[in-house]
Amino acid sequence: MTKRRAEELLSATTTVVVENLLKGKSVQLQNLGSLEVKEKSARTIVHPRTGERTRVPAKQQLILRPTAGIKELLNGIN
Amino acid sequence: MEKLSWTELRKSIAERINADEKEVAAFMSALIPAITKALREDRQVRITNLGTFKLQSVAPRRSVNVATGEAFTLPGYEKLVFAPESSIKELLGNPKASPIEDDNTPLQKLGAQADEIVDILGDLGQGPKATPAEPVVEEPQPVVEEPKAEEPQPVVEEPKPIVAEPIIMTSTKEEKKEKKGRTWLVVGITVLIFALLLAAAFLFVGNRFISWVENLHNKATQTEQVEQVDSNQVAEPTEATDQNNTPEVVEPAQPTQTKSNLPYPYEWKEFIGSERLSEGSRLALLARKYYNETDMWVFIYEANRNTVQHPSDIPVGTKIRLPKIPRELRDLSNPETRKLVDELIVKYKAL
Repeated sequence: MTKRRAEELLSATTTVVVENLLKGKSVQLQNLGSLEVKEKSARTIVHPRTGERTRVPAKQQLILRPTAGIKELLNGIN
Repeated sequence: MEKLSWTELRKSIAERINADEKEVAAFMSALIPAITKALREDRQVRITNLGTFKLQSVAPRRSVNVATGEAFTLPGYEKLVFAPESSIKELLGNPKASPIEDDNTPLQKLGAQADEIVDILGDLGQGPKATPAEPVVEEPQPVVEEPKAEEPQPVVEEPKPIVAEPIIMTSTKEEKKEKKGRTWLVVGITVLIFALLLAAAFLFVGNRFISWVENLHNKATQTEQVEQVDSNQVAEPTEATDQNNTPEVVEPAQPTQTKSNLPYPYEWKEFIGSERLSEGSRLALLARKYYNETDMWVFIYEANRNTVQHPSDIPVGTKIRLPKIPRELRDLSNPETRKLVDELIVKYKAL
């Protein structure tokens, strides 16, 4: 496989992954984990010194849920 | 949540670029191992328009067995984390945080708090919202009354102070808070300075005291030789100071004595194995892998000094011998070992 072909495939992969994430699906990456969009609800934060209150609006976050085996794999066990 | 499986992903990619599914499969099955391999070599993997995969070190920490109360150390490990690219964050269309419109009236602040408490109680699912709200509302009332009681006087004369007063009220409250914080800060700093001065004075006086005692001693011996009459007078202080002197000399000697308890410098003769350094690897990773402790790289380095010139510049493929590290040197919960290892880290990093 040429480097150029690999680049094409990689960019196609990211587009498909991102599209599905935006659709609200979680994308499973084998042996690594699954990517998903997580809803974070709005919250109020208070500046500890000034007492200033700021509302952090609800947002969506892209998170990775690592698979069960990845920790062992990356820590050189096995 | 609906899932997109590995095979579905492969299919969609193949459809997207009109590629043979086998080719895509070959690519994808190579992709994940490539990522994990790079991660194991302590590198970050950035995928454009998606994000970065990287490892985060979780340090070993002490914990307690809940059942028996026994203390033990949880070993450290590497955690896989993912940081999305900013382009993704934009795609998700997240609004920015904005400060709450706040006109500084205490009533509103308390109101907001009460709302929050109601929300929290509601979230906890504790009955109807009205009942928990009542005691919450009752609380602010006495607090609110305070500014109100002071208000009426200016209300009759001028309407402007009505707005001004609560602002002043809150500002004084804030000032008080700040003052409290400041006084604590000032107290803390003075205590710190005092302690430092004390330590400096002790060192200074201690040194001078010792030299003074030595001088006295010399003088005493000199005077003893010359005049016998004076020796009685001088001998008394020397006796007294000798008593003071001995414990002071012993004190600094103690750590050096205990330090010699550690088997260091150690002759690295026994080895538990060896490994050829792979691309991107380094001594610290080997240390973590074999001794479960990153800082043990200093001893690996010591044991390989004949082949390794610089600890952080080792050619790929160099055979690294892994020494058998005595338990005393591995136990970093021992402050002496900790100190020794820290010193070695500084020493070898400066090479």
